[in-house]
Amino acid sequence: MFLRRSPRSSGARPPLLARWILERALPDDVREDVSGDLEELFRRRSDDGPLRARLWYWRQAFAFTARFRSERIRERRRHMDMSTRLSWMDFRLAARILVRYPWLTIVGVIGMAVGITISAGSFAVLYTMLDPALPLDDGDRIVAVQNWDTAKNSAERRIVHDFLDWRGQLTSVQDLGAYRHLSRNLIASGAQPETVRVTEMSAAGFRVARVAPQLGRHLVEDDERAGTAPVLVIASEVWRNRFASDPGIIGRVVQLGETSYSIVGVMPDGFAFPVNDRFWIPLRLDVSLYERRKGPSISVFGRLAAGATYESAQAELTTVGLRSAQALASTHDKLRPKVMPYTYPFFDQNDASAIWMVHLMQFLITLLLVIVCVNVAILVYARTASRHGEIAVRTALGASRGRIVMQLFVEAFVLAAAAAVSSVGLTSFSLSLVNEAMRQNYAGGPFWWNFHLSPSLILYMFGLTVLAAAIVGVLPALQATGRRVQNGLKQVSAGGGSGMQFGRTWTALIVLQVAIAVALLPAAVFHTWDSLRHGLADPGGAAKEFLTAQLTMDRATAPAVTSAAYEREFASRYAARSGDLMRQLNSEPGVAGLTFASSVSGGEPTVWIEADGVASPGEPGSDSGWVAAGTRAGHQVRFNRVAPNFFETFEVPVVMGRRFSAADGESENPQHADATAGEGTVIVNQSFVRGVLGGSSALGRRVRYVGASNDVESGEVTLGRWYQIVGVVGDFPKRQPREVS
Amino acid sequence: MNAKMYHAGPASGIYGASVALRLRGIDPNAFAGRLREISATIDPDLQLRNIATLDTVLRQEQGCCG
Repeated sequence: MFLRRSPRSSGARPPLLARWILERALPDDVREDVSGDLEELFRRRSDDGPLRARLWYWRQAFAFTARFRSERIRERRRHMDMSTRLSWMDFRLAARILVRYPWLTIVGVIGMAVGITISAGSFAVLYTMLDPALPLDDGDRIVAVQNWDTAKNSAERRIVHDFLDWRGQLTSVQDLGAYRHLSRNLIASGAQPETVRVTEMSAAGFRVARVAPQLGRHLVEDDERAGTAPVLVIASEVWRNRFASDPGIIGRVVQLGETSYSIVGVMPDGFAFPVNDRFWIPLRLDVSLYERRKGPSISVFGRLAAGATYESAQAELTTVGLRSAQALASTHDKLRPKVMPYTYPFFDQNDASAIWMVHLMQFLITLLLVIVCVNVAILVYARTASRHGEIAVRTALGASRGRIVMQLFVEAFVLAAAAAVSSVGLTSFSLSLVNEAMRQNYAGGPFWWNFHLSPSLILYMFGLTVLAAAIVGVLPALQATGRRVQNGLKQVSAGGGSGMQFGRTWTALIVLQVAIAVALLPAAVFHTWDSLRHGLADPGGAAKEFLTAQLTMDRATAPAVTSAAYEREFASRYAARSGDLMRQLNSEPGVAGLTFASSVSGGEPTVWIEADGVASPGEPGSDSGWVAAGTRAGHQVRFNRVAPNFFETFEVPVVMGRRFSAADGESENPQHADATAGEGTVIVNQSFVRGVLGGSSALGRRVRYVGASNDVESGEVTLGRWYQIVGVVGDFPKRQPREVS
Repeated sequence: MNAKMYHAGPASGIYGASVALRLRGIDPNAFAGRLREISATIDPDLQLRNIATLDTVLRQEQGCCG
């Protein structure tokens, strides 16, 4: 119903801008007609007055624009809805596709399940370790306070003076307390003595944790005063297992080392603050005994005051720290106090702002899943290529590109979801293994390091599933439905040539993944075999008949500042007591042998040596330990200091030369003035002869140390001193620790 | 790296030494309690840490088989 064009023409022209807007809004098929009719009417109206005609034209332009724009939007929405709407049919079709291509399904599910498990496992471990909220009341407000040494880039822990300064001055951190760990022999009537970890802690620790005792009371400030009776709080687990749930436990007296303590409270199950603790005694600090930056190492904690934030607490702490730096420049010039979430220092995360490194680590681990998904996407694309006929038919029936992409995404999502379901089980199993390994190898680990499937972890796994589906589904789908391919499909439907083909990119990816797989396979097989070989090897020496333990002596009664005379007296007392122990154990029925060594067999520290007349392989491993300046390159070997009867007790055969004598031991005694004078004696094993001496004669050859790892205690080896090889023994133990690269 | 060098230790012992007892006719794990008892009797400050059979220690060092 458009107006007929009038032959009549005046010189009037519609406003240019309005006409431009109108023509932009009109659809192609009606643009000329509508525009022409309006122009005709405009000319007629111009005869009655040009201004009114221009206003009329503007109104018409807006009205037509609005109408056609809204129609276009409605149409687009309708189309989108039709093209991407999901239905159960899509999921049923996706499930059918998974069944139709079983090998692709198996490979895809296994690959993605492993990728999701690794990423989810890492997420669980990292973010549990670093969760700023302890599992305690208002746990996210419990903080750690450190004095950071900017010169050494590490925390200074000898801060008893600073701790008291902070406790007196800080208002944004309340209940400031401190703790340290000690090792004590717990001696109680009716139970066997046991060496236990004891926590010396401020009474404030119990207020910070906000956990009420199960029995009796927890520590209070009065307990910290010198001269008050020593008291002990124990965990419920200790009360049950060591004291048989004794109802009269409160008031019972036990010994920790040489000191008697009265048990005043039992803490409920689950309470292990500040780290993973079972025995708590009051922290008694007499700062008058120590200079600044001297004395015992302690860790400081507290709770953010109401209304305080990390930023406000840090600002206050910085002010206090700067005052100390000015007033005590000789000791505090480089010290900068920091406040941070309580959990961070346990993960060597000493700065809240450096948390991005953890996120980066997690991102890099998640990239493994991306690599797996890209590989699966290649396989999916190959499958999609074989379905080009189906895609052509659907396109011919009117399915848009978006609709087909959506269908392929759903197929990938179902595949990824199957992987995710498997991954939930795998992740749960893996985390239980991690928890078990932590219990066995790191029994004193923080109590909040308990890894399990949490709601946040499940949510993260869902996110990974969507990511995997997007990579596996959308990338091949976009490639398979691209314009070039669509044109090819039209030719197929018209009876022309072939449809989809692998392009250069996809071919290169396939070649690359096969090459990587081929390159990695031998290394993986070798590593697995190496682990199994060592694991299955006989440790030798009837290892199950031996009981081992590390022998030390408590320094509980040591003065605050020890002198050389005290150290001599302590060493003498230790030698006498350990001698008594050896004698008594040797007389015990059933004890067939007794010996000692500086390190447990199989876990000896690393040293670098030079053998006289043998070329050295390379520079000492300066990246993994210290070496003496100016020394030559050396062979990496392990080092142990053993009792004269060591080889005899373990039945290690002497292949050449002799065993150690008592005289050899005494010449190495550091208490002797001439201990490092002249040449010493050493015995080497057969691996040493093969690896260092190339199988040549060992007896009489000289060796000397050129470097030692950080595991070797100061003074344990003498750099540069020559030692003569007096014997060669068999390898012991036969099963060796794996190398750490 | 299996190459090892051994030095002789003084007969008076080494502080922090790893002590090894060979037991015949007794379960080593069962003897652990007796070992603690003897040690505490000699001196309450004498401490025995990480008591375990050598087999267990080697497995842990190896990172194998729990």
